[in-house]
Amino acid sequence: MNASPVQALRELEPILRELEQSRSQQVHRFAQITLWSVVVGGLLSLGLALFRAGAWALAPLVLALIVVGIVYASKADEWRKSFKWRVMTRLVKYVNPNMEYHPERYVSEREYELSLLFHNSPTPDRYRGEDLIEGVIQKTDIRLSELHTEYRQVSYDSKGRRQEHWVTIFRGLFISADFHKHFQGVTLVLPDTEQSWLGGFGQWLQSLSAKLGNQPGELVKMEDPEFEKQFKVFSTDQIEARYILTPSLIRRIVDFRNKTRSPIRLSFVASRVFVAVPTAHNHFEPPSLFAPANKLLEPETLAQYFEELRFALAVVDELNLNTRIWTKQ
Amino acid sequence: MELIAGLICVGVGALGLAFLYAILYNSLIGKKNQVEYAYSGIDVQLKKRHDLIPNLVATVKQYMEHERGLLERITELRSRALNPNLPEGERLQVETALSSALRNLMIAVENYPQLRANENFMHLQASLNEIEEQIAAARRTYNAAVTDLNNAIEMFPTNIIASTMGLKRRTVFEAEETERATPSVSQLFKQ
Repeated sequence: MNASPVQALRELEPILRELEQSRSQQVHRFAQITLWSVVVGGLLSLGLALFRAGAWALAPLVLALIVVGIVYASKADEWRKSFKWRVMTRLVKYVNPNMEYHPERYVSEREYELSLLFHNSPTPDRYRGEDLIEGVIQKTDIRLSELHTEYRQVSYDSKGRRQEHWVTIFRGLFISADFHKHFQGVTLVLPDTEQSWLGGFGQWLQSLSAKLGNQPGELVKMEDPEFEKQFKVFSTDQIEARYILTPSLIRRIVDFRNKTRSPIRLSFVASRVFVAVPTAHNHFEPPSLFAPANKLLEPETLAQYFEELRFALAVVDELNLNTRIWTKQ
Repeated sequence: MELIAGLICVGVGALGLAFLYAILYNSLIGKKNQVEYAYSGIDVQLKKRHDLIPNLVATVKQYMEHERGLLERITELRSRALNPNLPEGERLQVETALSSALRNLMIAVENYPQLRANENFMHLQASLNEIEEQIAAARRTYNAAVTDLNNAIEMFPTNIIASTMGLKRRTVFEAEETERATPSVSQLFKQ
């Protein structure tokens, strides 16, 4: 985590220039294709209209617009890919030389299931992701990517017609890292909704929900009032939960949550920690194909990617995962 | 007719009250047992620490000539804590004294670089850290269970039942003054 955005910008400049050049070429070519398709389609439509072809006269124009759409999609995809391969892979190395970036890969569904973070939601019917970053930071191996998981909901309207909806379970950054202590059970740290509304009664509902088997183990009450307001903890072992969640880690989680300003959730399973940070923003994406000229070359653009990467990798420092004074080395 | 209806009402009411009493009574018993269970959780970890100490003292002894007094104190505290006839309150005091003596030892270790190169010692130190961490977790579990019980004893309506059961408030563990204060190293070496 040594290189500064300025230094990275200096070294990446030739690549960025090249990319910027190819981007403006692509935009130019796209404009030509659009112009030609619309002119040809328009003329054909006009011709057909003169022959009184009725509504069919519009067909060539519609066809032309479809062609334009397809060309745009393929150009945008190409641009994204070349940006990710050529710029992001290098940027990740600048932020941390031990990390690898794989634009097309993502955290596996097995790991997602293992984390139990969304064990109360249905199993996803659609599991997608991108931007996998993995590697070892000192002693902690870490893997993170963007994920978007959804399930299919089928409903029938009043006329008995079948309707399908995709419901999002989770969308955001999913992080899986080695935890610095050994443990056997399962501990979940979930965003608290009931207690902040209903106070003590909410807490009673939570412990009832654990007793009914909706959550693994039982409700664990922590001493930190701010933490208790934001989260609820369930664990198969009361002592182990507190062994993992020391007062200092609890503070760190509260700080991390305040920094992300989103309802994060954590789980501690199989000596690993899993963190899900819901975000609406799609990370690590290039500026739009039609962004103002030379936007890519502005230092702010690059600084923003740096910021995003640092944020994603910060979990190791934020949760102090590298401190190994315990028997797990 | 009215008499029968009245009797049924009274009967249903009494049954309801008895049922409520049973639920509250059981929840209080559950909380009381939770406290005892949590207490035994601390005991398990304290025992682990007792088992570790002889090994630690033996490893450290040959390096730390100047710390002989501290080591003897640790050994003595350990054997006192192991005495089965020790009253409960005193035993807790001995354990707390042992905690602070061990902490002092770990600070004194910083002065012996050869010791820090000793693999056996490093392993023991990691184990001790782990056990101390577990003790802290067990104490916090105990405190949470005690708070839960105390709340039930003082809050309505369980307070009525608790008083008939003779349940008393328990005290939570508190960090000692020395634990709260940042240790002053020079002070420690004067001992």
